[in-house]
Amino acid sequence: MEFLSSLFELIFTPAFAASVLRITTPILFAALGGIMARRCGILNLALEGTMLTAALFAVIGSALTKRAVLGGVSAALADPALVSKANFAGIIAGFIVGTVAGILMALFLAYMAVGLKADAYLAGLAINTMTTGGTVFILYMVAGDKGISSSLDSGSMPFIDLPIIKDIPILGEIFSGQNIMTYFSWICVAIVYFILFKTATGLRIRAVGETPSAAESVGVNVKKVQYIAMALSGLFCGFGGVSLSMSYVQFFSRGMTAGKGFIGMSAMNLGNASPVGTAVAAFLFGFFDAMANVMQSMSIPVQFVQAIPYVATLVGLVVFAIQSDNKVKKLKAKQAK
Amino acid sequence: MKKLLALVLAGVMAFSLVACGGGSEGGEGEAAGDEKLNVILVCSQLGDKSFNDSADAGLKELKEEGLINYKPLEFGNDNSKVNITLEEVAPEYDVVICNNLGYGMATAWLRENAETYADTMFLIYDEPTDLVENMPNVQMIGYKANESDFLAGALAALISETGVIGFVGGMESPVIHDFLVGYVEGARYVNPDIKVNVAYIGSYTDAAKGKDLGKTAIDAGADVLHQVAGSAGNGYLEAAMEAGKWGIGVDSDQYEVFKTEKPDLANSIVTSSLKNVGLSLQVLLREMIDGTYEWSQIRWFGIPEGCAGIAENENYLAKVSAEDQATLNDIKEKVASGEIKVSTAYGMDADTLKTYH
Repeated sequence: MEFLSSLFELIFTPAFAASVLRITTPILFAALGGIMARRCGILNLALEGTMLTAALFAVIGSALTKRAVLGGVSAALADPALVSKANFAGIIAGFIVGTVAGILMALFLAYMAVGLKADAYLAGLAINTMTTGGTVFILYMVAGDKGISSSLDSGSMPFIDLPIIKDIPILGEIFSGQNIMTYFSWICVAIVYFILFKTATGLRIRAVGETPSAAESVGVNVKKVQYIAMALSGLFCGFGGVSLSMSYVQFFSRGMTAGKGFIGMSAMNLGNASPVGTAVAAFLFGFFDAMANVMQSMSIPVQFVQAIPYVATLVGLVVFAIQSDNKVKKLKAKQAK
Repeated sequence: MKKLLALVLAGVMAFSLVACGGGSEGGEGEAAGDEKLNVILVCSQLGDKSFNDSADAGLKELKEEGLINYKPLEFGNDNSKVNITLEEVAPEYDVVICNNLGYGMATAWLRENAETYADTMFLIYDEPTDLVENMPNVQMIGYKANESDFLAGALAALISETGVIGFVGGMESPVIHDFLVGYVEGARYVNPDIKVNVAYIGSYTDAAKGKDLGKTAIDAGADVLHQVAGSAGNGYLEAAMEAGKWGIGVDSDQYEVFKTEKPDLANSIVTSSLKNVGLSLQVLLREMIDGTYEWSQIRWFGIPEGCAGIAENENYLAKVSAEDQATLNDIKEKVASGEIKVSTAYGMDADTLKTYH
C-alpha cells in the first residue's frame, strides 16, 4: 500500500501530466505516419529510420542555414537583430529540411514496395538498418562528429504559453508552456482525420488499402494513390523527427529515436489505424513511459521499470487482438442465424 | 536504368569503404629496420568525444613525437566483427589496444587466443577485472572513476542549494556503479544529509529519455545533475541547462566540447569527471619503450597519475567560489595521498551497493 500511495504521489502532479504530453509527441507523430501507410495497404516498418533521418536533417538544415545567415560571424559577437533573424531562419529551414527528408525516405520505401514490388517489411527493415549507420556517416561528412552533433549550432522550436489557459491553476501548468510541436501534433490528429474521411484522396487511400482490385476497377490509379499516402506518412514521420531533435532536445545523437518509431507503430495497431484511437493509444504509451521515469526514484529494480512501456505495449496488443477476435465471432454468429 | 544502377553501386561502394575504413591496410610502417613499436587502437567508433577519442589523441601525440607507429581502426557497430578484427590485427602489430569490445567479446577471445599471439601485447582499457587471468601479454587497465566522482560529488554537494543532487547512468554495470559510489561518498563527505536522485537511462543513445530523467530529477528538487551515460547523457545536461541548474559532464571535458557551438549548454557544465585514457596509454607505452614496464593483472590509474580528477577549466574557475575551490583542492590531496579512502564498486556486493541508490 505504501508503494501505491508513493506512486500516486509522484503521478498526480501537474509536472507529471505535462511530461506525459511531452513524451507522447514524437510517438504520436510516428503513429500518424503509420496510419497513412497502413490505410493505403502498406505496413511502414521504416517509421523508425524515417524519423531518425528527419531528425538528422532538421539539425543539419537548421545549423547550416543559421551559419549562412550569420555569414561566418560568431553568434556571440554578431548584431542581436541579425542573430534573431538567423535563429528564425534556422528554425524554419530545419523544419522544412527535416520534413522533406522524412517524405523522401518514405517515398524511397514506396518506390521499393510499390514501384519495384519488393516486400515492404524487408524494405522497411533495410531502411532502418541503413539509417542507423547512414545518419552517422552523413553527420560525420557534414560536421565531423560521430556521436552527437556538438559542432552544429541548431535551433529549437519555440515553447508557447497559451493565453487564458496559462492562468488556470493546474490546467495551465499541464497544457501551457509546451513546445509548439506538441500542440502541432494534436492538430495533426485532426488533419489526418480530415484527409482520410473528408477528402476524395482519403476515400481513394482507404479504398486502395482495403481492396486494391476493386479500386482499380473503378478507375483509381492504385500506384499513384499509394505514393501519395506514403508521402503523407513520411510527412508526419518527418514532423516526429523534427520534434525529437529540435524541441525534445536540441541536438542530433546517434540512434536517438531509440524505438520510438516502433512504439508509434504499436500505437497505430492498437488504435486500429483510426486517428483518435491511435492518439489515445499513443498517450497511453506516453503515460507508461513517464511513469517509468518517476518510478526510478522508488526502490524497484531499474530493469523492471524500464520494461514497463514495452510490457504495456504487449498487453495492449493482446487486449486488442482478443477484442477484435470477439467481434469477428459475434459477426459470424449473426451470419449463422 | 543502367545509370541509376551504376550510381547506386557507386554509393554502396563509398559506404563500404568508410565502413571498413582501414581494415585491410594493416602493417603500415613495418619497413625493414624500423624499430618503433607498431601500435593499433581497435574501437567501434571514434568521435565519441569521450574515452575512445581520448585514447586516440594520446596515441597520436606519441606518434608525433616519433616514438611509435600508430593507426586507429574502427570496425563499426557490428559486434560480430570483434573476433575477426582482433584475429586480423593480432599478428600484424606489436601492441593492440582496445576496451572490452562487444560487451565482453574481446576478453573472451583473448582467453582463448592470447597465448597464440604471445609476441603481441594487448592493452585492455577501462576493464579492471581478471577476465583474462595471468596472461603476461594481456594488460588490464583500470581508472579510479570513483576518485574522480568523489570530487564531482563533493563539488555537487558544495554548490547545491536544495540539498538534492542528480545522477544518471547509461546502464547498470560495475563501471557505472564505480562512478556512482564515488559520487555519493563525495557528496556525503561534504554534506551527510545530501539526497542523491539516481536513475538509469537503459541506453547510451536515447538522449530524449536522458532529458526526461533530467526533468524528473529537477522536479524532485535536484539542482546539480551529473551524467555518466555517453551521448544519451547530453539530454540530461540539457535539462539542467534549460532549468538554470548545474550540470557535471563525464570522461572528457564536456565544457570544451560544447564551448564554441553551444555556449549556453557549455556554461551550465560546471566541470566534468575525467577519465584520461590517452595519458594512461602514453605512460604504459613509454615504459615499454624504456624497458621499465612490468606486467601486473590490473594496472590502476588515478589522481596521482593525472588520469582521474575533475576538469578545472575556465568555466570551473569562474563559477565555483574560491572557498569551494580550496575545499576541493584539499579533498583532492587527501584522496591522492590515501587519507580519504573511496570505496569502489568493483567486487561490492549487491546489498552494500543498494545503500548508494
